[in-house]
Amino acid sequence: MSITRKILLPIMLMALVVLSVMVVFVTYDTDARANNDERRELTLLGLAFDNELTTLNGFALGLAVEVANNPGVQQAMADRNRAALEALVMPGYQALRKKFEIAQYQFHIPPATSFLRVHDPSKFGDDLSSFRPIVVAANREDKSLSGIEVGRAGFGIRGIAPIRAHDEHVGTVEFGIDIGNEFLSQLKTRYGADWQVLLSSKVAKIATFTEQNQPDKAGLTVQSSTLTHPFIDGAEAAAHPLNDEAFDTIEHRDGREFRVRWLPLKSFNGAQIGWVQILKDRSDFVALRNMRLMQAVGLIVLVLASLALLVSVIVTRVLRPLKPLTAASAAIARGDFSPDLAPYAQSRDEIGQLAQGMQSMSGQLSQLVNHLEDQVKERTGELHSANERIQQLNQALKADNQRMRTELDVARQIQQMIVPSSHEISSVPTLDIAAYMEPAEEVGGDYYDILQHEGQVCIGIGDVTGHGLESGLVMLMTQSAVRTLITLNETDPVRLMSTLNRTLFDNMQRMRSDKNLTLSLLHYQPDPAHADQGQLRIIGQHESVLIIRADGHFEDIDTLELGMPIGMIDDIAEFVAAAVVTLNAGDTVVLYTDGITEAANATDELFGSDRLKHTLLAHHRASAEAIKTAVIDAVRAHIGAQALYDDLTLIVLKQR
Amino acid sequence: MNTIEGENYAIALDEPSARLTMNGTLRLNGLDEYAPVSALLSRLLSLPTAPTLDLTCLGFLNSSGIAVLSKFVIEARTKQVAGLSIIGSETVPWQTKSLRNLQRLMPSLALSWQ
Repeated sequence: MSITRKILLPIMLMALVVLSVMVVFVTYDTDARANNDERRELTLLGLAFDNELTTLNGFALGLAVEVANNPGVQQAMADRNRAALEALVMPGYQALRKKFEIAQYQFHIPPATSFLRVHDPSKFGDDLSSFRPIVVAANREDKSLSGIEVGRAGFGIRGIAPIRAHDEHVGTVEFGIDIGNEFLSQLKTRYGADWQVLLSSKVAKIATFTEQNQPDKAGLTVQSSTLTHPFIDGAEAAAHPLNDEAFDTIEHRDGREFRVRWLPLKSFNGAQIGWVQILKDRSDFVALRNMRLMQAVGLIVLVLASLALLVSVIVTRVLRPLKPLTAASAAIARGDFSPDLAPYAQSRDEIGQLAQGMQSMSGQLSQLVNHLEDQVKERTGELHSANERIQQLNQALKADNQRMRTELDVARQIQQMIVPSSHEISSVPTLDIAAYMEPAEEVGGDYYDILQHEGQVCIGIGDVTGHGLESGLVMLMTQSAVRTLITLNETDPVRLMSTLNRTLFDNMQRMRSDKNLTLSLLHYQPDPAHADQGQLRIIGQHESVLIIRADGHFEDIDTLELGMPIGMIDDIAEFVAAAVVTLNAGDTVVLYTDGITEAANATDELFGSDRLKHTLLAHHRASAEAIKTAVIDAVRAHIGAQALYDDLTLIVLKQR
Repeated sequence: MNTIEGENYAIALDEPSARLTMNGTLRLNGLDEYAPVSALLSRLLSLPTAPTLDLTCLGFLNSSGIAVLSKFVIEARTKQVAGLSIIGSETVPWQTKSLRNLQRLMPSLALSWQ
């Protein structure tokens, strides 16, 4: 339900109720006033009717009394002289007839015999006692009477007076004025209402009048009426039998509505003989009232319509900005901040405040969204450039990597090329030799060599600091220098090591390299006297030289004091010394680089010299090859899946 | 500037006590990158007090670094610096052999282990 309808409906309902109550009240009040007016008017008309009857009564009685007091009439009645009487009264009657409707002018002699009908002189002498009670009563009681009487001659007002002559009752004289349509017409002319006289059918039968010839209803007959179509409301008549009080009814006839006052009609002796009906036509009032009612309803409809229009206009005007506001809020919900709310925000009412609120909210949202969009753009740009940078770096890294890989490949090739062949190794007659070298991924600078020259065997083992090509080159230079010096038969330990050091130191200065290397050189001299003995001289600083005697005795020869790192300082002469070991059959000599002892497992635990010692002790009786394999297996088992970080070099010598 | 700090190392010279402390893992690339360290070591030798080099918390030193230390000791020997002492840790693998070499380079050097 729209807001307009929500506001309109209760207002309309309220207005409808109020207006309806007002109309009902006014209508009821109008009706009540009208009813009162009608009743009062009917009461007045009833009094007027009584008055008319009284006047007629007086008139009829007055005439009768006047005639009865005429001495000539008294004499003629006393004499029963009909002709004299007729002659006496006829001129007066003729004069009266010109002005009044005199239905009856009759003289009677007791008890009730018609003596002279002045209005019809030819008929006389008949006895009226059976149907003229008032005549009977006046003659019997010798007194004047007047009132309504229904007789054979009709229905009307009768005035009757006794005639006395010489103190003798000689008869009565009677004047009768008929009450009929003529009389009622006069009343209608005079007072404006309609009239009807309803007689008890029993009473009416007595009369000879048949002028109305209306059917009986509930024992009543219409005697006279001013209506074109006289009627009797049978139901009301039945509900109010004779001898009842006056009452009112509402009746409808010929398309008209009447308020009918029923007045009891009584004869001269007080007996009710019927009803006089005064009919007040209230059709105009009803029509007027109905018209007013219709007007009122029309007015209500008009008021409601105007009200609806007014409220609609006001509500629409008030709510008009809501439509664009609603649309705007929907637009904002879609992320469209274009709707301009400024025109609605100027209003000072709640809707204006709402528009202001929405405007500032929309603005903030728009800013926020735009800011976000900007930020996203900015970040996207940053990401883009970062990505480009990463790609550049990646390419550079690839290039570097490629270069390093190439360098490492070269270093590895140098190492592999320089390593002595298995033929060279196995060609030493008195020694069982096994050598192992495995370069790490990043080739370290491990060095070993086995050289034979003029019956001497020279075994070298060393480790250049660092990794890669530079270390490889230093190793290569070392190998060349050693080989050169051995070839030149330089056997003096100090000169040998000093010259080596000087050569490499100078070269490394030139290379601007800060590499250095540990290097031990072992000279083996077979004992000419004992084929299964030999002498081993050790010079130069490197790892320990391990000796496992044939009986399992383990010796660790520390080479620290036998030299200095090569290439670190210019002159190492003062630091060079030699250690000499005699080898017997079954004695084992083991040389290694720190790649063996510092091989680490996943928890960074080093293989260590203890494990090496134990492995050697367990396998020293085996061949050099088997011992070598056992140690390498043990190292492999120790590091597991870990990568090699340094070259592994191992040389096993066994005195045959 | 008496301190040098890097990603994994910190070197500080306390002049009043003539004590130079090297901590962490020192893996600088070549003698060029070690120049500031060499300068600080030379400054240590120029102090009037007997210098102390504390290496107990230097977990790793590459060959360039060892060369720098060797040159430092040879410089001390040349200058005949009195009372040079180096404190090392036997639990750090590189130190056992290298520090003994340093002492051999300069026998008057007082090498102590912690």
